[in-house]
Amino acid sequence: MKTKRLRFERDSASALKNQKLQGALRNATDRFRTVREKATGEIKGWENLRIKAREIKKHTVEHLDQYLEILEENIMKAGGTVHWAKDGNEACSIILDIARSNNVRSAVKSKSMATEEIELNHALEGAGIKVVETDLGEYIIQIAKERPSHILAPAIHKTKEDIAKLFAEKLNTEPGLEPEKLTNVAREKLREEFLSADMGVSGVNFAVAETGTIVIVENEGNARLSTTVPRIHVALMGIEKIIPRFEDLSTFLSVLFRSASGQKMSAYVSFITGPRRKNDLDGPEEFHLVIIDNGRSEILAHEETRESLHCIRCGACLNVCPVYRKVGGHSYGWIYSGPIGAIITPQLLGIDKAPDLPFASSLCGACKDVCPVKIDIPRVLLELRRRVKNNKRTRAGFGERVAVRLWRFSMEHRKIYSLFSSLSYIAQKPWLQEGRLKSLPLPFSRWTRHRDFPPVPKKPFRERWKEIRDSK
Amino acid sequence: MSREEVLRRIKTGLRGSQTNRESKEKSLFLSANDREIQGRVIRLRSELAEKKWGLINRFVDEIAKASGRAVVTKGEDEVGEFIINLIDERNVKSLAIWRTDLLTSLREFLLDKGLRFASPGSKSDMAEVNIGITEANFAIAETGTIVLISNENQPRSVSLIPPIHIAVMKSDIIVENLDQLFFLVQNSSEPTSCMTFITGPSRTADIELNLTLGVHGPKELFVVIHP
Repeated sequence: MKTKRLRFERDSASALKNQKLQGALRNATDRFRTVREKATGEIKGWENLRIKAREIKKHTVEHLDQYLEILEENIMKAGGTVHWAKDGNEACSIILDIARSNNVRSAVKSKSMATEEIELNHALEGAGIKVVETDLGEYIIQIAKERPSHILAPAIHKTKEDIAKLFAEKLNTEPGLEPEKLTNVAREKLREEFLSADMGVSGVNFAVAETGTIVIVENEGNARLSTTVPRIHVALMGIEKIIPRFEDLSTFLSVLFRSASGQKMSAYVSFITGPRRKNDLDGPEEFHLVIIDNGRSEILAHEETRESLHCIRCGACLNVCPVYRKVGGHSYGWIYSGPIGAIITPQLLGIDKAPDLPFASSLCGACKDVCPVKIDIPRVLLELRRRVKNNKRTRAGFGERVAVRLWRFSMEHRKIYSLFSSLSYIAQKPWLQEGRLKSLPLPFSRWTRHRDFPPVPKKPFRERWKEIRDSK
Repeated sequence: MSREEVLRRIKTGLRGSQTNRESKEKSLFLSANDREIQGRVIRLRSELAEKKWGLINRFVDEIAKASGRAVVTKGEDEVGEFIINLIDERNVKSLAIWRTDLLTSLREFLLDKGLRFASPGSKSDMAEVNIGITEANFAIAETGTIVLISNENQPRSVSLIPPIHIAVMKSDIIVENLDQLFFLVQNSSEPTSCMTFITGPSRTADIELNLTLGVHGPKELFVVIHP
């Protein structure tokens, strides 16, 4: 997988100017935040659930190889097939092989971040296989030829008018349809796809080692259809999706829905263990699980950032993040957005591909406060910032390094610091407008491009502090 | 092979933090013995039986919040009556039904009324079905969830493809919460290829977060409870 260096700064600047997007983001993230707060407030022992979820994930990741082998064994016992892929290309070619050897002409897909990650649709279409996204949001994105902008609601950047227009253009519907009508159109269209598809592709929310069961949560029923109607079911999961015991599901389902959509339970949860049994009347005849590494074992190898693998993809951190709420999902350049994207993307793609992302945060910690598995995202961000600055290809330029040295030197020497602040009090005069610094010259202009800089006061704080103290 | 490579990378990555890595038997499944578990199953069941009406009421409330509808009947006759009324009201032409003990007499009753059942093994037949009738194997009071376990007599598409889903259930299958549910499923039912939690009708909020029911799965869910 070749990825160009992501351009967070450029993309986020254009998102900030997009008024329609700003409105959509505000609406969606406010709604998700409100329902999450209500749902987590109503349940007893929320904090204990989070602690328990974190402990289970930590334990699992520390014994990951053992649990994966148990999972594999149990899925095989249930009649399923397990495949291992070290990267995206390999996962795509495994799935292509399954499709080819079964003469698959069309596939239906339910929402899965892992399949987005490996660009599976592209690979299947390249081999002449029709792929249809069946989650309504993903379907909209697919016909618009765009990328998801929110982990949970992939099309939140589009208004209902946008979608009505899109359907009218691409699906020949009447113009200006309301959401309910649009949903019905999608139901009809996608029903035909489900009934004619040879293969269903899904993601995995949790895989239970103890029983060989994969768990898929959803509200629409498209994942159930994708995993029930076609002859073959292929599920793709990252190595970190595993949990040890069946009973652990109680903890994870309790935290997932509340964090994600504020529901106590999603409309459907499917627990799938292998293909249909001998006398079953329906369900897929073949079940394949593809377990993919794709950079995750590298995350695992760094103990300081290992907890990034605890993520259960609920999206709660996106909705509370002051940065995501302004710049939206597309600015993050890849499929994972928000605070979790800022830590996962640089680790999966390589720090030199996304050096801006660890800095796309004010480190306010709102993400850490809502994370259902208590990932310390700000701490991981700081560690990644350190890696960016230590990487030959992404470290700061000569000018910045000199400036930081000077800054450090003056911070360590009081007299020099005082001298600098007196000097800047004088030096700022030509740029003062209405008592503010509104546009500074290089190298400070990047700061004042988006906000004013407060002027340097005549009397520094420590002198005023001294005066106040003395006057008491 | 990639299997070995992935596992090797994981092991290498975890080296250095091996201090916490106990043997899997020790750290994993600290399972109690069977007799102890059977004892716990019996205790839990009797505890739940004592709370029966509280559980039924909570379940009925919660399912309503999830846009489903639960009806508590007085017995078999009323179950049949409720379903036949719904069939008349909705101009139903084709049905699909599970083959379970609880549903046997309902099945015969509906056959007597001249109704026919589609074969769940046929996709094209199922696509024409208006109402699917199943029996819930468990239910969760706190969340208003029904739990369906699929097997040869209980095909999964009956609760999925038709626009209306009716689940019939006995009242003694209701548990309070997820913990109890997973415990009972694991220790009192046979593992099968698929288990499904259903909480209300199919729903989406993908267009400007407008809630719309019935996007892919059933548009309506009725749960008919035997007392």
